[in-house]
Amino acid sequence: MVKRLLKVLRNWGFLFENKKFLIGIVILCSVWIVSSIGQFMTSYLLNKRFALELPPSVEHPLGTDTLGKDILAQLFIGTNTTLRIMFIAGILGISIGMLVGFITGYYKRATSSVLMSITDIFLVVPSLPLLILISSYVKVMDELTIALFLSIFNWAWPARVIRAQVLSLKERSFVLISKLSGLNDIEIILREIAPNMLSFLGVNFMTATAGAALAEIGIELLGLGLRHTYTLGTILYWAMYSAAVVKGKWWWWCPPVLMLILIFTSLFLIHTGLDEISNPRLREKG
Amino acid sequence: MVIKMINDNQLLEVRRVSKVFTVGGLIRKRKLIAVDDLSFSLPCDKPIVFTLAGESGSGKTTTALLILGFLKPTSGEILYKNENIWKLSKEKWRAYRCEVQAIFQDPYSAFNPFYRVEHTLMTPIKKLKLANSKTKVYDLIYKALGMVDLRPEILNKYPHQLSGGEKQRVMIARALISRPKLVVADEPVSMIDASLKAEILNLILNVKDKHGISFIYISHDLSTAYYISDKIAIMHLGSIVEEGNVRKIIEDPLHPYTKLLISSIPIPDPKYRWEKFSVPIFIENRYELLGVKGCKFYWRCPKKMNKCLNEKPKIIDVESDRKVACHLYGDNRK
Amino acid sequence: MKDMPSFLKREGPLLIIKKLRAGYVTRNGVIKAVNNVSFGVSHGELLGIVGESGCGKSTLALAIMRLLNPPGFIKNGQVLFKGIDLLKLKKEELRRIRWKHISYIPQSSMNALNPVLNIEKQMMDVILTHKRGISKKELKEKILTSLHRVGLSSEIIKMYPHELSGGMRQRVIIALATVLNPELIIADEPTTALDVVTQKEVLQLLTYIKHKSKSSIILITHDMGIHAEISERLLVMYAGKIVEAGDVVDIFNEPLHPYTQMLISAIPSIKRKKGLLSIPGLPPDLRTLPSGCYFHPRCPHLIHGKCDIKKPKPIRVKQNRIVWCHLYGD
Repeated sequence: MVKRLLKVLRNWGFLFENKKFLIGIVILCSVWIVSSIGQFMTSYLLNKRFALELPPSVEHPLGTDTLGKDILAQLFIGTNTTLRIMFIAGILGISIGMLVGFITGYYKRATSSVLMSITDIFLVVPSLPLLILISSYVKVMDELTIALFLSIFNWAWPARVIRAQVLSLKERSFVLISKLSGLNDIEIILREIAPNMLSFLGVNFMTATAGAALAEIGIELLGLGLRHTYTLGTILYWAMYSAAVVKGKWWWWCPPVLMLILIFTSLFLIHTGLDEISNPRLREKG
Repeated sequence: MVIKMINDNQLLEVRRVSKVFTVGGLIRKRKLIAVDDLSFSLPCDKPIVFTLAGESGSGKTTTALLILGFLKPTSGEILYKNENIWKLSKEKWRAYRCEVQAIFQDPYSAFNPFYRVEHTLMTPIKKLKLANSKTKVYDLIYKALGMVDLRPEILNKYPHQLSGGEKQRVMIARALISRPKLVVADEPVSMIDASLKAEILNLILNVKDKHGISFIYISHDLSTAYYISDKIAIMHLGSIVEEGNVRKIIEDPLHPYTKLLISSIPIPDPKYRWEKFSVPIFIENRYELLGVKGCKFYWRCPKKMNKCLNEKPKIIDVESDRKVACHLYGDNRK
Repeated sequence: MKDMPSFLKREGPLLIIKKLRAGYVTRNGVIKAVNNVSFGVSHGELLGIVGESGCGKSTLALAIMRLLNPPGFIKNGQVLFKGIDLLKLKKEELRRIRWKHISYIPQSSMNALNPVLNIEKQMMDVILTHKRGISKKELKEKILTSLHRVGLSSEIIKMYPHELSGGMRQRVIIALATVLNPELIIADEPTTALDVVTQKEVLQLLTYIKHKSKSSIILITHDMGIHAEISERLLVMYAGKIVEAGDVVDIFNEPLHPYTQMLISAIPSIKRKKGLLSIPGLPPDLRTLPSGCYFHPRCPHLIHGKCDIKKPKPIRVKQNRIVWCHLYGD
């Protein structure tokens, strides 16, 4: 078991040679680890109420909000929740995108054109206003629902680019040879074409995730997000609601913004790093 | 299971096969006749190398895909051991897949760069159900590697670690694993260096003689075809214009197109240089495929007659092992 | 640099390459693609350069034209065109020589045409960049003349590249390369991807142009058949070095270097039904070259203690015939 893991790590080691990817992963993982530990240590604080609107101090490094809740604790849990929602939405998005992309790329039948038209509609329609509209009808919002919700739109672009990639890979000889070796269509897609697109899929996963994150922040800033848990977006919402910017309470709105900057920067670095890796011109020849 | 033979005559028969593609978008659709009423056959009493020669656009790759069952003929039939391949039962189709294999032109894109060589050889065994125990599987793999003169160490390597020649040999091994009776080779050496072409060509001849496997060799390079084949069919825009013994056809071509092709081949011997000329003469293909009632070579033919414009020449036997489709020869002369 | 000094007579070589070294920088070392290459090209001759993939012949062409971009680089050497070292010229001066005196037909040049411009505009572009002060009438005349010279009719000037066949596009490229009547044309695999009938037409066109305008041509191709048909002199390259040079007829009748011998017997020909032999082994990695003669690991005439240690020096076997091989030396 360990041997297999080591073998996998060795095969994938080349990923970490890329500086951008490495730095991005390091930042993201650090953010996640720090906020997880932080959440573990401070989540009890959120059940208590302290003095209202305190500036930063030793007991409350980021002060308290208008309800007397510790902001640092909110930051930890908020970061984790945001990350979770982002990645679930990203996984959902890339999965649907892969499904649609593979089918429309590999098969040239009527279903393909229908699916492509649907994809195009989802690409063209303005996502944020529609999400706002739909969210005002949904009564119960929990993490999973909001992730599902965000993935309504973020699958369309990956579907398009995956389709393009499949279309080009399909013409390569190894697909014909796989057919000669007796593989059926699904096996060819999953076992021959998809592995060749792994870094490409990784790039699109990042795109889907980042897109979901932006949409999430957008919705939450407008107050349509989760009411009962904390995410970076909701923290910012409450900060804005209480005019924290005007009142100069930088300790309330700056940290979430900085955290978001860190997260998006790391996503961008990972994305660019994977892009460089999947560009065959930069690959090393054996 | 092996497909039993009913009629002891032909291994493969392509009978009046045509393949028409519709190209163009929603508004402007055009018909592209890739293969036009094609017929030829391979005997089954002894293994031969049968070459389909022609320029790009002659339909030779489409013919390969038709024979392999990747494309369905618009009209006509493809008969393997006298059975129409599109009417085979599922079991017989799998047997067909085992007995008719292929190798392609580009050894570089023929491999999935993600997997090792072993995967390429293991896949047909598993999917075509050629062996059920692990020992038998490796037995088959080692035997196939032996047929192409490769060592077992190559199984652990990734495609990018192999040379072009080695890659092509692995491809051949893969094709031979299922003990085929017929291998379709589509330009197998055109992407291989000159000094290494001989390796692969000699390997094909070796496999043919030692294991009794017939090859359909598809190429635009008549020099390699001359070296390796027994019979040759010259294709032009989807039809066979001349067919027969390779030596006869190349040394004494009859059809004007064959003559043009052969005189254009650069000969690596300064004794046979092209004649000097003063003004370049260029004749472009200037006709639509659709609506040509007569011979498709009419516009470029130096010997064209009025008859050629309106009547399609039929392919006829001119000698015991020679067929031509030209109004200049045989009964067509009337 | 407008007028060439008159003392550069026409008998001297048009182009002299002296000890040229060029290569590519990679993570695992430097690829020595052109490794101490020296040769000359006379006025009005068709010099062929033959070698297999990876022998450095394309890099040589790019180096002569100074079109080598990073990670490619020219290490040292001289490229003397009519006595002037091209490698030492400034960009502006080089541009004045390019196209007007030396032109280049790159590999798969059929795809080198700009797909959004019609033929006329592209030719105008090229001519105006390299020859200033030319009237519109003269321009059009030049374009039509060069197109007719390659056998294309006037109606194609308004057409776009995708409307032409591969052979026609190649001819447009040749028209472009010859429109300003350069003294030297470097053609790198000008006929790959063309069918054999069009290939013959294009090759005969090149010899016709050479004959008419008295320009020299360097024809680079791996196809020995093409060299046998139209080249006059031949350079055989292996692993970045020239191993044999001489008249084409001479080399085919009596190949001296073992690599040349094996190369010739590896070529299938419809005029010869002998067994084909392939050369065992593989060409060396240009980053980690073998010691001594680069061909020694595959050479059937290997002399231990000599070929694997000492690099062979050029040996003039007779007039116009040079070979780099220990078999012919002291």
